[in-house]
Amino acid sequence: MRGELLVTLYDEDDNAINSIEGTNMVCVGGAEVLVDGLTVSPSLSGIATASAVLDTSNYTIHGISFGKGYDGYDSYAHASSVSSSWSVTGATFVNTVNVVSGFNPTAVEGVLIPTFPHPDDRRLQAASTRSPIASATISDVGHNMNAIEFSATNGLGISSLGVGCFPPSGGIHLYYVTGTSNDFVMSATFESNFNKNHLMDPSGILTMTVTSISEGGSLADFPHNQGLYMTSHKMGLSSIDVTGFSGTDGKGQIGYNVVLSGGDFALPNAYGGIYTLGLWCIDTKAMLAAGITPPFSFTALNNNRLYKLFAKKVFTKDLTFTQDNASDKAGLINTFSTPYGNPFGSGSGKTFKSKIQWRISF
Amino acid sequence: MSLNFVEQRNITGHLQIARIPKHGGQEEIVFDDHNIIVSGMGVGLSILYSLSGSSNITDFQFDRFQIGISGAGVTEASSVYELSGPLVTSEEYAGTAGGLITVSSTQIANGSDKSNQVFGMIPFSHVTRVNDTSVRYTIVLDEDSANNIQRSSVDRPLNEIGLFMKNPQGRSSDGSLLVAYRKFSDITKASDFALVFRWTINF
Repeated sequence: MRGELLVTLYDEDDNAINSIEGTNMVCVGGAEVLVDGLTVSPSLSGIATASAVLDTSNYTIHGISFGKGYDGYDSYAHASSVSSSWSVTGATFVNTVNVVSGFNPTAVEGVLIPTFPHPDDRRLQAASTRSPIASATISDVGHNMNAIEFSATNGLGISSLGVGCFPPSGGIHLYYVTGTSNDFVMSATFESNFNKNHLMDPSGILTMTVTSISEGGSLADFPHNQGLYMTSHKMGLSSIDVTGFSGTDGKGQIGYNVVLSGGDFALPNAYGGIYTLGLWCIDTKAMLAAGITPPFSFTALNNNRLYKLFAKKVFTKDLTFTQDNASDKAGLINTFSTPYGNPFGSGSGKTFKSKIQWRISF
Repeated sequence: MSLNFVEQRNITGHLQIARIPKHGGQEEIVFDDHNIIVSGMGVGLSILYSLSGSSNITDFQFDRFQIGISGAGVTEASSVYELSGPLVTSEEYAGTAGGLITVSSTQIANGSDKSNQVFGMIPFSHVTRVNDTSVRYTIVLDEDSANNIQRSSVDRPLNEIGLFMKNPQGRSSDGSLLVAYRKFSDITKASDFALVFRWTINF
């Protein structure tokens, strides 16, 4: 098993402006789940209450997560200047529409290169990713959480704003200020396609949608309002072609695709960017041991699925990187960026986007 | 700098063949080497992960095998999709005592189906999880099995074996897929010994 990724960055008008590609790291968790499936007893089919354990989907990939270097979780939001003092007016910061006075963000700055990947990795970052303002250990999941949407129920409360990293379904306000003079330059409300469609759980796992769309070159082939799309690279999903497989023509390849757009692009950018990706499969064995029985349906609010890391990818480039054209900000990575289409004007409502195509070959 | 040596998880396998004398005596290892994971493994797993085939995970299990007599001329490569000369009847597999369970079903071959192929079954009790990422399949050809195989009145030794995925497409009638293959030195099976194939697949 091996995998390759192609990430394409688009501007606000859906013009491709950059791409990054590379091979992934297939992790041991995927092999373990596969062996779980290959050794589950067929006799369970005769037990009405247990036969659902044999459902094929219990042993396959079901989600993707996004992260950055573990040290990027020490701070809350996004710096406007590497030299500024971290005050409300000195940093680009996030704030909800309805809440928060007195929430003073610090900043995430610089290039947050994650630790190197290893085949035995069980999460995207092995070191703690707990936010310093969130005492609850639930914030230590190894990747970007989806805490803000679930701040009322996740035990983090207001600390959810510090944890991040995706907008709530009702939107979130993002304020941008310049790094040198602390001038307010832009604010906008960003919404989350993922949360509006209830596709991401509190821990930051974006669930998968099985589709029959083909993998094409156009951004329009990948609807933005859904989660992780599974496609076949060279075959229609509904009719896997088993003819002519003696060659090495790429058959046996599956694509997992997702588009980060709108607030799902802008907020991770503000929280330090996205440098790591993880594909997750369901850990049926662990769920059965925990008394969780199938069907293992996904609900964003109360997702009781347990996952194992199937594969991961570490980039040295932020997948939400956008370089501002203004002379005083050009070239700064993660210190000021403009995912909003027309940030200094009336605003077009468009954002930059990242299209992630992850192909697993078997 | 290339990191491919750790970035991929290559599925590998190992086959050990033991000769067990009928009236006691020490087990003799007659073959001990790696196997060939063939392209059918990739096809089967892609059907599994794309959720486009059977909805029952047991259809993706390796529950059957074929043994053959024409392995000598086979070039072992991932492009192998069938045995060169598998045994063709239940009687050839199980002999007169019928201790070995067989089944006749379709084999998914390269570009076409082959119907009425005979497979030996691997009981689930002979499937062992060696560790978190490895499974061992123990195939037993007892004293009565696969003896006196002839073609054109000429005795033919056993020299190839294949491991099959049960029914990945979830057909109403099983359509099995070759996932691993290995040829081995000629073994003329007789009634005074059994053969035990210990086949470990590492994922």
